[in-house]
Parts: sequence; structure tokens; C-alpha cells
Amino acid sequence: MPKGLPNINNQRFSSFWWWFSAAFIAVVLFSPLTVVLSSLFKSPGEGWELISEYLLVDYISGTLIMTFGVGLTVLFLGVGSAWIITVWDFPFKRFFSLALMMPMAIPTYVMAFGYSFVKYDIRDPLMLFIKSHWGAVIMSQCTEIFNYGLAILILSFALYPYVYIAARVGFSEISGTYIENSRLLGRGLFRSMFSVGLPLARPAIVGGLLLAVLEVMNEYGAMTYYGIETLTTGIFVSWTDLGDKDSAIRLAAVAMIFVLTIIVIERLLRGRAKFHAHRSSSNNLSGPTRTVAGSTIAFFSCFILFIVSFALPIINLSIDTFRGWEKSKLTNLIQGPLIDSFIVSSIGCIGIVIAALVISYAARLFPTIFMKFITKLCMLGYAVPGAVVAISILVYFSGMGSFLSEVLGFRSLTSLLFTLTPAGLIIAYFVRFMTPALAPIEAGMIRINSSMDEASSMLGRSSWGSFFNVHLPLLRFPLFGAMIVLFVDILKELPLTLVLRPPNIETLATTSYGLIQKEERIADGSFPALILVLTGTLAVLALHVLIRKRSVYK
Amino acid sequence: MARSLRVQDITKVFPRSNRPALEKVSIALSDGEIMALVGESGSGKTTLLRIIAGLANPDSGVVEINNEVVWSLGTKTKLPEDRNIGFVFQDYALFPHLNVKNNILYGLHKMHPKSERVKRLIEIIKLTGLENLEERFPHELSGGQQQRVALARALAPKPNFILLDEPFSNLDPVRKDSLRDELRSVVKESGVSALIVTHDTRDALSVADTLAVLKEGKLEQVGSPERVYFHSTSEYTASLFGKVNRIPCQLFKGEGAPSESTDILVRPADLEITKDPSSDVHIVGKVISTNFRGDFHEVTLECKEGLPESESVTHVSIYVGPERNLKLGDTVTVRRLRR
Repeated sequence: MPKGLPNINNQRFSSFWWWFSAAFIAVVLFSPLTVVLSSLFKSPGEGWELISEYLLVDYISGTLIMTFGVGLTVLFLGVGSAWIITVWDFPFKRFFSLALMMPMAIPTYVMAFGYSFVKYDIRDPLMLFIKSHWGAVIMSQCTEIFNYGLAILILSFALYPYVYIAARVGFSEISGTYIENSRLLGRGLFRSMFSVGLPLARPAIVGGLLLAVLEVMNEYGAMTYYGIETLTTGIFVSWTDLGDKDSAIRLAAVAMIFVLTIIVIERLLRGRAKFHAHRSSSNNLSGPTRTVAGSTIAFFSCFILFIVSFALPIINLSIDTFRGWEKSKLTNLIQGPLIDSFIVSSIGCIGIVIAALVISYAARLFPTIFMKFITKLCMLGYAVPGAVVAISILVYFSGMGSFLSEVLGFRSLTSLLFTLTPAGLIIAYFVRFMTPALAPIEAGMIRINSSMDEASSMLGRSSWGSFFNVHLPLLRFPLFGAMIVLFVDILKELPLTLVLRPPNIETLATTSYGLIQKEERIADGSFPALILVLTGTLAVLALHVLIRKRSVYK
Repeated sequence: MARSLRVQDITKVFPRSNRPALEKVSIALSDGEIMALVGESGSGKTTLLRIIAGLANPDSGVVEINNEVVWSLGTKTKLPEDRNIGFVFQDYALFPHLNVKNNILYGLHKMHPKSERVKRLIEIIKLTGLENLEERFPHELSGGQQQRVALARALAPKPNFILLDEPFSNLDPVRKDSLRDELRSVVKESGVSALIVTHDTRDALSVADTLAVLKEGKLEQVGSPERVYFHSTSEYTASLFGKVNRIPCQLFKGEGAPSESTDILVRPADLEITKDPSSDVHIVGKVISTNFRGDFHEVTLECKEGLPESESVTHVSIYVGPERNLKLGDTVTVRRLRR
């Protein structure tokens, strides 16, 4: 128990409201996922034989190639660029330190659409050339290799910022004093970074890598666009194309096992190395190296990375949009999705933040192992691919619906409720996106000294009064940050929304995907994609300002 | 006399601890009294404060506020928010998002109508001398100002009494003395009784009307500062409050009865140099060190003569005024001051 937090909350009636609400949220969020895991213990259906014989190997190998390929590439791009920014001095360094984060604003599938020209203008002519010289068999093999390579690169462009940001934090904030010490002990900056900075930043880098790899597991749009089969695309195939619900759930279970394995590997890679952030008086390393050749290389490395991961796809999308501008009435096309997207995102984002507040305040009032467990349970959904969450929610609520109709004689009311209204979709967002809200709010809660709670209650306020008058205003920065992240996360969410949206709801993400992937109307689909990128860019910039403003406040 | 607080036989054992944090501790606070709870870290003084505040519960005992039982085993507990106690935290716990005015108003939410709150705010700002600082935020205040705001906030809701947890530990040592006197005068003027927890005995001596000394969870001595300082009931208390000389001596129990060896404890300030060795009990010693302490020199004597079992050497400290110019090796005669 943290020192000072009173055990007297056990006697406080008003405190129990928080406890029950947190427990309720955890049950609602976790129970759908049990559907997937329990499917492993049921005997498989007929369709499963077909899948396990012909498709499962492809799904698993595709998933493996993509996770390893993207994992290694983002490690190279992310750590490399963070390294350059930290130890080299070169023109526009400050610009690049922010600009290299910007690909965060581009959803992975939009990045894929942004590189559509490679698919049509490079790959296809190249393959035709190969076919005319070496035949169709060689061509199909080459196509597959090309597709994998391209998909790995494109996903890495979109996902390397996770590693970049983690490595930046690791290099500067954590190890500032250590690096200074190492330099004072007579090692140069470069050797210090190798011998001290890199090992110290390892846990942070591995944490960033984990996020990137989980995004690869979650990826649906970019994979289908380049014809790559993974477990996630397999879930869709068996659910929608084959109509085989049981097999879809089984694939989802396999995907979950995959994810759990990744998390375990991350824990192992992190090892016992649990380094804590030492607050250094000078967070910035002083005197980065500057030579003409080195600075030139540094500048061009950052410049090229920025171009390929941010500028090029956006320019391409803009050209496509411009091309289609007069042909169809674009504004008509996206008006509905725009409104739907903003409504769904706002509801989801506000709801999730409120739930996260309830959980983190309950965990503060009752600092018990049980509450810690509940918090962890609520964070589990972030690791689970969207397609898996979607399947769980559907099966869970239709199962509950038929159960209720049997017991109470309702005509499958809940099942109707969850397929025809956005309720199921919103709950799915809760399951999947609780972590981006809970993590910053929890961190903010920890920073509030327990004497604040005590001072408030000594001045006559109950747990409710303290929450609204002390904790809520003190959490305004993490709250605002969490809302920005959530809004954009939900806005760009694709696989969940594709499965769970009611027929009358169309978001920017699903519109863009439908137009580009299904109907091959690149010109039309680029506009909603561009709006997604624009919103994302604003969000990343807003977060940047927010973090800087907050550090001024401290 | 009216009691704002009575604590009876409080016992508290923390889990996984072999010694009780508090063992049958009883204290009482009269109206308008300032009491200091003194003890080393780990003596249980903060635990006692938190139990009184309701932030922690004891294992047994009774807590009474204004003759009303707010805690006793088995009966209903009054929550901290319902006890109406002012609490000044060690880190002051000022709400960083509220300015001075709103920090003080925070505890006045039950006061109606609102004009009453403003009246009280003005009153309390005047009492604590916070004029012109109302709009400042806590991080824009000095340590002493923060302490005044914390005190103002605690006093504003007209509490039954106030509790202060190590109020001087965060202050700049140079300004500490004057801030301490200021705190005492504000509390006295408000008429509210106060219980102060401190490990600094100098603070305790100068700020409190009554001292309560805690040692390893047990009450050692309760009394006025002078009484506790000069008439400590134990060597622990005596040495807690300052330097004390332990001098072996013979105790005569009248004609014919065998004399008994014992030690007496004498404070350096209780000893003076005398020229006339005949009149009184005295000891003779050789100066082995002198240390300049500002208003006086602390002189250490090595004494053999006049002490029983003269083979053992006793070191005795005395305070000597600057006018007396003692050198190493001088021999002086020392006797006890009469008080």
C-alpha cells in the first residue's frame, strides 16, 4: 500500500460506488474475450479442417514474416533516427526531431494507399516484364516477394515512430546523467552512447517495438491491399467470405496466442532490466558532434526518411484527390462519413475517458492487489487485434441475446440491439482502446500526492467531492492528451469498424477503404484518407504542444 | 476545563511489525492550548496524529472530540471529513491548481450564505497576514508563505482544533525561528487549540504550552516545556531536549546509613563556575576543550576530584560567557545553580 493512502476508505460508503463501477467495467470489457479463449477447448467444426489443412500455414507464415520484417525494419529506422537526432548536430535538427514523429498521423492502410503508385506504376509493369522473359511461375513468385517487401516497408514507415519516440525518451531523459558521467570519466559521446545510452534505453526501445509489432498483428487494410494473408485477414475471410463463424473464432484464438507469445517475449527481452527514469537536471545532452561530412549524412538520412514516410504518401494522395476532384462530387461522398465518424469518435472517446477515470480513481481509493488486477485486465484489450475483439463482441452479445430470449422469451432483443445500433461498436472501442486512456490518466493519478486526498477530506469533502474538486482539475493535461489520442485512434480504426458497424454507419476509414480497396476508386477514396491524415497531424501537433506546455507548468 | 480533544489508551500495531506503533497512549488537549508531540522518527507521533484526524484507525482505545466519541472499537467511526479538524500537512498539501483564495475557500463549502464565506476569507487572510497574496498560486509562494496559507486553510472552517505535522521541517533554517513565533501568535490569536508533531525539540520548547514526549510508542512524559526540560523524568527525555551531563555521586541517606552510588543528570546551563568551593556541592575539573557557540563557549571539563571512585574520569560540559577567558588546562570549580 502506498504510504499515507488511508485504509479508511473501507468505511466510506461513497467510496464503494467507485469500487463496484470499476469491477463492472472490467467484467464488461474482459468477458467477451473469454469467448475466444474458450473456443480452443471446443471440438472444431468442418470448416476448420479445410482451413487448418490449406490456409493456416499461409496465415501463420504471413504473420511471422510480417512481424519479423516490420519489427527489424522499425528497429533500424526508429533507433537509427533517434540516435542521429541525439548525438549529431545538423541543420534543421529541431524540425526533424518533431517531423520524424509525424508518420504517426498516417494510419497504416492510408500509408498503403499513399503508395498505390508503386503497385500500379512499378510493380505491375515490372511483373509483366518478368512474365514475358521468364514465365508466369517465376512472375507469381516474384510478385509475392515484391508484395511482402513493399508491405514491410510501408508498414515500417507508418510504425517506426513508436520506436523513434521510445528511443528518444530512452536516450535523452533516462540516461542524461549517466552519459554525462561516462563522458566525465573520459569516454567520448559516441562511445558513451554505445556503452551506456543504448543498454539503458533498451527497455524503452523494446516497449516501443512491442507497440509496433502489435499494430502489425492488428493490421487489416494494408495487408489486403497488397494481398498478404495473415491471421487477421484470415479471420475476415472465414467470417465474411466463408461464413464460418466457428473457424473465425478459432483463428482469433490462434491470433491471441500469438499476441500473448509476443508479450512474453517482450518481457523476456526486457529481462530484469527495469531502469527508472532518473530526473536529470540537464535532460539534453550537451555538445553533440558536428562535422561537415557527418552532418551532411545525418541531414540527408533524416530528410529521406521524412520524405518517404510522410511527404511522399501525402503528396500522392493529394494528387489523386485533385485528379478526382471534378469527376465526382466529393463533398457529397464524404459528408455522411464525416459526421458519422466524428459522432462515433466523440462518444467513444468521452465514454472511454470517463471509464478510465473511474477505474484509476477506484484503484487509488483501494490500493489492493485486486484493483491492480482489474486495471491490468482492462488494459489487455489493446494487445488484442481489432478483428479478434470484433468477433468476440459479436459472438458474446449474440450468445447473450439468444440466452436471454430463451430464458425470458424476448425475441433476441440484445442481439438486435448490438447489430443494428452502434452500441456494440462503442463497446468494442472500449475493449480495444482502454489502455491509451488508462495509461496516461493512471500516471497522472500517481503524480498527485496522497496528502492532496487527505487534505481534501480533512477539509470536509467526501470521495466524490475530492474527485471533482481536486483530482479532475489536476488531471486536465493527461485527460486532454488521452482524449486526443483516443479520438484519432477511433477515427482511423478499420477492422473493428468494418465488422461491427451497423449498415447505416459509414466512417471515414471504412469509406476510404471501401472506395480504394473494394471498388478501386483511388481518386475518390483518397479524399477521406487525406482528411484522416489531416486530423491525425493536428492531433500529433496538439499533443506536442500539450507536452511542452505541461513541462513549463512543472 | 473544556477539552477539545481526549485520546484514551490508544494502541496500534501495524501488520508485520513486532512492536506496537502506539501502546496505550492517552493525551488531552484543553481549549486554546498548544501541545507539541515530540519524539524521534518511528516513535509513533505521526501515527497518533493520523488516528486523531481519522486518516488511520487504531486497534483499541477511544478518541473523543468535544466530548463526543469519534472512534472506539466496534462503534461507528466518524470519517475525517466529518470530524471538523484542521490539518496542516508536512508538505502543506496546497492544491496546486487553486490560488491562495480558493485554497482557503476550499473547506468553506458548507458555509451558507456565500457572503459568509467571503467574510470568513477576509477575516482569515487578515489573521494570517496574507493580504495581497490572494491571487497567487502555491508555486509562486515562498516556503513561509505556503505555510501561512496551509494554516489559513486549516483555520478557515473554524475547526474544533488543528493538527500540524512537522510544520517546520520544510522551512529555510535562517527564517525558521521567526516563522515559528509567527505561527504561535497566529494560533493563539485564533483561539483554536493545536497539536503539533515535531522531532525538533527546540521548536517544541518554544512553540508549545505543553509537551508530550513519545518513545517507541509509549508516552514518556507530559508537562510544561520548563518542567520537561529541567525536570525530565527519564534520561531519555533529558537527552532528547539537549545536552545533559551524567555525573556519578554518592547519595547520603542520613546519619549512619550507608551511602549509595548513583548518577545525577545536570544540564550544562544548570552549572556555573564558582570561586567559593566550600559552600556547596561542587566538582573540580580541568578544561580540555572549548567551543565557541555564539552567545557562549561550551567548555568540556575532565573531572576526577570530588567524585566517588576517582579512578574513573567524567567529562562535564558547561556553558561559559564570553567575558571569562578560559584556557586549555585551567582548573575550575563548578557547582549547580539553584532554580
